[in-house]
Amino acid sequence: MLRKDKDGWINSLKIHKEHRPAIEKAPIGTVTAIVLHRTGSNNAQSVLNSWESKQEGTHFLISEAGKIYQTASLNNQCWHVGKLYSKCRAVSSCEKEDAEAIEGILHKKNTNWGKKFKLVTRHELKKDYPARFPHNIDSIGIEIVGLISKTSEIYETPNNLQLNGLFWLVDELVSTYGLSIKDLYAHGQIAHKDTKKSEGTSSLKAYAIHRGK
Amino acid sequence: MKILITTLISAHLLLACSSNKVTNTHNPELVFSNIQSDFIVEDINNYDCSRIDITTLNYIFSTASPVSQRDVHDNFSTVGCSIKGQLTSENENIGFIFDYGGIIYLDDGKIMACGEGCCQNNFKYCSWEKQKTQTKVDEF
Repeated sequence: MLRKDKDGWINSLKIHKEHRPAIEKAPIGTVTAIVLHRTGSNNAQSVLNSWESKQEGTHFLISEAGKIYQTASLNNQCWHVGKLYSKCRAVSSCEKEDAEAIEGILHKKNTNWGKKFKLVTRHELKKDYPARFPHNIDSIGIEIVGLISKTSEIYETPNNLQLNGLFWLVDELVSTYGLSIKDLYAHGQIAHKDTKKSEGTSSLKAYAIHRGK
Repeated sequence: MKILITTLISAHLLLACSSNKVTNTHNPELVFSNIQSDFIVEDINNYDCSRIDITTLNYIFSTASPVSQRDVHDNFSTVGCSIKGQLTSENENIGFIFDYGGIIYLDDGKIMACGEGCCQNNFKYCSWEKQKTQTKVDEF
């Protein structure tokens, strides 16, 4: 289990503090999930540099060499999720009224799709987790340095150094927050990110294998 | 043989083709020609996206900017409705995938994205958002 100080920073030799105040937002609620991201870049330093001023970011960043950075307090939200998919729509389990409301938003006339995605997200956030996908208010974000492959058009699988760092970090967070593997999500599967929904998917699969699930 | 010829003619007719050159407004050295697609929409989220036409596609190629994966990751949302196509650029034939969120993935690894230009011109699938500069409670 991780030792976290009152300000939300982890005391561990394996975690390097690189505080980026710009990405810290409102106090976080009860942490119910972890969201796995990929950076779309090939090195951590460029990400750390951009988070000096950017509003969006994650609590942790795992470098190309597997080094783990904590960049935001675990007491605060980070904007890392974006526009959610409707979970019940994605798994075909919506109640009739809910399904109608969601389809009503998606087929709303004279509304661009960016706005529709916002409305769906707002609709989803009225539900409690796990009836919806996790969002900024209740999840920890982990970025892993990595690019989309030019040939396969999906994010490359993290290298072994990155995976070792990820497995250790996720094991510790799962233990600290009392989560299960079901509370671990690939960003591409829960929000409108890459076209092939691959962001975080290979990391999630690797973690499931690591845990023998 | 007849079947083959009929198939080839049908395929040709189905492919909307634009032989006109499209010059990118941000970078006039970027010129695309023979932009073509069958405009068949792959709709992974079942959003019932409508077909776009060659005029819209040409417009997107003319206003999109070259971007990095990081730019796309940070500033764009995908719709999950996409079309495939081909074009000629610098005498090379290149395949592409266009996600309706305004993102063009070229087979040579380059990415172009149509953000503000698409949104301002009411491309209804536009999902680009201006970079945030201040904290908002309900930010997504």
